[in-house]
Amino acid sequence: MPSAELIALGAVTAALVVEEIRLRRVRRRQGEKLQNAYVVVRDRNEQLTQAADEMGRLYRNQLLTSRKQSARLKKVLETATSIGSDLALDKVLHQIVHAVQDAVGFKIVLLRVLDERTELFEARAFAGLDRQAIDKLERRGVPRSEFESWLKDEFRVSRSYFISHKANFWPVPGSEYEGFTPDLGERKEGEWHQDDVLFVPLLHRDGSVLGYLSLDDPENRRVPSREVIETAEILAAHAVVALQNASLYEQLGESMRQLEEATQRGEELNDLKSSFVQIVSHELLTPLTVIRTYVEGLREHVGGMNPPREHEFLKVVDENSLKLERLITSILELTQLESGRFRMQREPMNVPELIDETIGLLRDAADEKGIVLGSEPVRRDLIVEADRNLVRRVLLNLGNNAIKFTPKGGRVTFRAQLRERSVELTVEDNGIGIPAEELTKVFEKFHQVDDSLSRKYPGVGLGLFVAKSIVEWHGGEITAMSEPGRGSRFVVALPATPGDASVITHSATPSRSVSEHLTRLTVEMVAEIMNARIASLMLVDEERDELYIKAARGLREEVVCGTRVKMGNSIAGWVAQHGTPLLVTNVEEDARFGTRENSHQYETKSLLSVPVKVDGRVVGVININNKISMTPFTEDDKALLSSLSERVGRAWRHASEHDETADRVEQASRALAAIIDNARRSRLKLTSGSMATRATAIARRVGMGEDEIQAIAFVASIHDVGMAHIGPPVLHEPGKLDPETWAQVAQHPARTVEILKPIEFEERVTECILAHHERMDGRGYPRGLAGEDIPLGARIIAVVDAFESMTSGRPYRQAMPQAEAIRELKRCSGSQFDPKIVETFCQVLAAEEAIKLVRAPEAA
Amino acid sequence: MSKGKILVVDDEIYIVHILDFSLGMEGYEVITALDGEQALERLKADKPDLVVLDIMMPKLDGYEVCKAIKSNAATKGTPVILLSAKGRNVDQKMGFDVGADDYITKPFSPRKLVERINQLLGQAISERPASSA
Repeated sequence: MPSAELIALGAVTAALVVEEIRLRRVRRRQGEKLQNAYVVVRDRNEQLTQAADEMGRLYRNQLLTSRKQSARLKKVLETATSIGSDLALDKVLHQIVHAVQDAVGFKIVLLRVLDERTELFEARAFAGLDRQAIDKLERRGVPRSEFESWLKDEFRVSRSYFISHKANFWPVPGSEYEGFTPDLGERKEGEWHQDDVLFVPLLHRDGSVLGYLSLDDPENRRVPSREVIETAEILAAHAVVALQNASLYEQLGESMRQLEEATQRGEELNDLKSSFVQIVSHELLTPLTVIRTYVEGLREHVGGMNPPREHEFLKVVDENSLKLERLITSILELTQLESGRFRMQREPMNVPELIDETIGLLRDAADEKGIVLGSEPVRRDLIVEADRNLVRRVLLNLGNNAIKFTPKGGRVTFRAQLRERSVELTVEDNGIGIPAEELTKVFEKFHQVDDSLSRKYPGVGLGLFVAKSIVEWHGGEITAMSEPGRGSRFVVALPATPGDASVITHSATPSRSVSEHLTRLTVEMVAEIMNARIASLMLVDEERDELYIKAARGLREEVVCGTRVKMGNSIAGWVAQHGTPLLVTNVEEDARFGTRENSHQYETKSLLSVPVKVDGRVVGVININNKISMTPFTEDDKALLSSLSERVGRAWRHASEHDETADRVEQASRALAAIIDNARRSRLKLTSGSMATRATAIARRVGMGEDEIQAIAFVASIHDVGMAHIGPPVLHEPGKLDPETWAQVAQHPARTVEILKPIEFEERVTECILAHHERMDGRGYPRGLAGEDIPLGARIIAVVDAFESMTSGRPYRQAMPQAEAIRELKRCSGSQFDPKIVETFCQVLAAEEAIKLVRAPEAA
Repeated sequence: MSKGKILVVDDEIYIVHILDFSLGMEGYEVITALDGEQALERLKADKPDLVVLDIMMPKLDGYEVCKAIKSNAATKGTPVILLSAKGRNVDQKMGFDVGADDYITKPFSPRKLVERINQLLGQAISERPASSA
């Protein structure tokens, strides 16, 4: 029976796929290495350009060769496929109709296969019909609806349908043979009539119809007995297996094609490839071997085997086809999973909504099995930051498994809870459970609890592995608990939203010194400017000699409301008591502060804590953790945060001064809001590094004092606040500015100073803001200052700002490469910029490059 | 009358069943084991005339079992056919290195396996009088 060859071809194809993937991986790795080397050489050493070109040429040659080889392999597969799926299948079907003719004793046998595309049953194999009849039958497909109209319960015998001429059924189903069947004349009771017809459906295991056998003109001239019909059904089962194998074969080709596409997309497929190799070498080969040996057994003993044995063999083939199908599905699933990882998008999502959606998707499967799906009421506003599609996949996989392993009438329940550091999603069932020794293994790739179980509940294997992978990409954890016979519970813990941008204020403890609105703005401003995921503002409770969290971003409500720190204790307490900022690079190793609670919230081990003073008295502490970049905080960050907290103190003081309080709160708030707004806008256009870091680096190198450095860090972060008030047309318009807008632009430094007035009255800061568009040759604005008359800080900001604006691009202008921007700075050195600052800035950039170079090998 | 006693060792129950069937149809008596340790027990208890042995199995793999058979004076002469999904040349070489008499890769044809068994047992039987003499 050629289906065995077909399967062997499948194995050969699979082996080819593996080999091709291996070759490609090797080639691609080599290619990547060459590419990396090429990029490094080109960018860093101009004198090596020629050598690099040579390497590039080699790389391209290699790509070409590799493309040719893969085209060749593809051709082999195509040839194999064309032989495998059509010719072999037809041969098998041909053998089957003749077997029906011999074994069941019908002179005419026709096999039709459903074409899912056209919904027509097409004639595929014939016995006892002449060429003319075959031609006619091949031309006419039977519409699915017509076939289904014949399947009346009253005609049913076993799984087949015998339609007697006496049924007076119209249209006469057997009419397709009209003209080919002999006129049998008058018939007695129990004798076959020329208008009688017997249909044996080819049934898929899910009950769907793949095709049917149509039988006519029995040799014994009798209406068939049940035994005869059952024999025909066994042969029909052979046809089903052949059809399924052919479709499996097509799927294998499809999975190969998808793999190829994925490779072409250049995605990282290492895991997939290793698992694919594993599947082919053992997992895929095992069911293939079983199918092949059993088919051979059937073939060698046609007629000699007793029906129960034959049934058993067919069942084994069927089960193993299913197993194979599942593995192929798994490969496809892995492919999709891998690409999903690269498109992972974490954003806040509503958990109860997702649970409802999942339950909706599982409803049909549950109803079919008579299982009750439910969810326990959860807070409607429960949010977690995650990739919605991926997490839905996790819930679906867990839900499907639960349904699968829960007997009829059981219950599957979804739950969601907010825990201390995580959002917990639970899927619980009261099904058969998992034995203790298997619990740890259920998440392994291709694990099946036990063979007898997987036969009873097919489809286990990859679902839990996929779930685990997804959860782990989110930094979460998945655990399984079970009591055999009582049920299982799977718990997914996703990290509680660390980047939640909303600020929670603790209103239970109203503050006498600061308005709630202002504390909220303070936290928001700090988080925005410092690029921190977690920022909190603590206030001093003088009566109890404690600090409590007044407002925070990135922390949960319970933490905000529950945290109190004694003055002098812990980091915040220390900072409040000493009135000095503190940078802790490794919280865990800093013995001064004992064991920290809540340390799980901190993705990075570094922490920055600064006091907020009003009139020289510590009134609170600002803490930040978890830089968005995941790097530790630096001395530069400390300088910037210190200068911010100083402004915060002033803003609070401004707001609480004098009697017209409401008005002053408004002014202070507007200043902070303008800074936040500016920070958000500039984040969108920043290219690399940050202006504040570069400005402070220059300030340090030219030997400025710590206070001045702090002032410059602040100015670098806020110097363009006034720009926002000049309206969009100016910012978006290319080319020359008209005199009127120019006048406005020239005013923006003054505007900045005005907005910041409630928090900024230090002359060195305001002077610096005002003068950052002045030029060395006196042709700058707004005052036309020249040379040393321009404050040093302003000269620094001027250089950094110009560089940033050149390299980041604007809506009306393309970004300039760094090297070109540096040339431009040098060209304008002396006329527009202070040569000493330009030179220092170049050193700062060189130092940045050096650090990148040191880190590059790690990244490569 | 049985043509001979064959021990079939494979952790895939379906393979064991089909071989039980095919070899049974051929007139052989078949005894089975599902892992390497069981195989050694059966070997001692039932003294088969030939062993069909899978390689990748839990507990004791096929190479180890084969080595054990070939290093024991009592079982040394029992032909061993390795039956494995491991199709590389090195795997085959390793099979012959541990003393296997034949190496058949999966997927395999039961008919071919039966032919190989007939052949090997024919040899073994024809050699037996010479060795016992």
